[in-house]
Amino acid sequence: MDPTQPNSIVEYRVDFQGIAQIITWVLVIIGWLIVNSQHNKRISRKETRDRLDQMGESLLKLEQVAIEYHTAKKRNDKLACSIRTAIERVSRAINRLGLATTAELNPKIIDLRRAITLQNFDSRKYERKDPSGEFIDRISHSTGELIDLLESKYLVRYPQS
Amino acid sequence: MSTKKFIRLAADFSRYPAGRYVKDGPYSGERFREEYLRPVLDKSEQVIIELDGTRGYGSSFLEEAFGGLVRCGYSVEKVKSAFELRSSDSSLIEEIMDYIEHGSDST
Repeated sequence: MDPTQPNSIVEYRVDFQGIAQIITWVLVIIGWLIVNSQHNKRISRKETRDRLDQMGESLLKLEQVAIEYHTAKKRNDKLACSIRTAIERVSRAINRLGLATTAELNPKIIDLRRAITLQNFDSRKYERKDPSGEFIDRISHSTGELIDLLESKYLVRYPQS
Repeated sequence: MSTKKFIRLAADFSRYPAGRYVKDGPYSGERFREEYLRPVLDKSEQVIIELDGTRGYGSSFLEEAFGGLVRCGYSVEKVKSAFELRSSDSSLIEEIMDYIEHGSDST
């Protein structure tokens, strides 16, 4: 009789139980990996959402301050300085979000900087702009374009949100 | 072997560059162009311009400083070959190159 061969129904049953246990553990591990991966994705999505919301607030604040600057009676150098700094910070922070490429972001960032600082900015010939006029509308439009780009990129990355 | 010179805008000119014309303020784009950029072109030198370190830039400053060179009569090719721009914010470099290549038409 071959000693390596199971010699009874009981030994076969023990082998099947061992295999069943291994399969169970493999399924448990795979399940854990899937749940863990989904959890990490949810955390990543929430963190990105929070950062995007903060960015949206920063952009809307910048828009508000820029409109305040251009609709004021007099040129305000202190406000101009804070606007230049805010644009630079926003530009860097948007790139750090990592939602869009620089090729996608730069034209929108440049449009925003131009809308706010190319004309009637840091200028001796400063003149108050009409709050409902084309100049102010361009600032709001370029801000909206940048926010729209970021939101659309967020939806592409997290389609179920 | 000649090494390129550096213009560190924040250290050599101002941390607060602002305005288009000299009459707009002490650290305007016009002044930067006349005192720092045109001499480089007139001597046919090549210079690296480091843009980091300031408290931001207005487009009026950038347009007058760099786009203004082409309006002064320097060719686009000469301006582009004379200056190597460096910044951690690539949108600044892209905007300046647009002013050099297209001037105020790009706005």
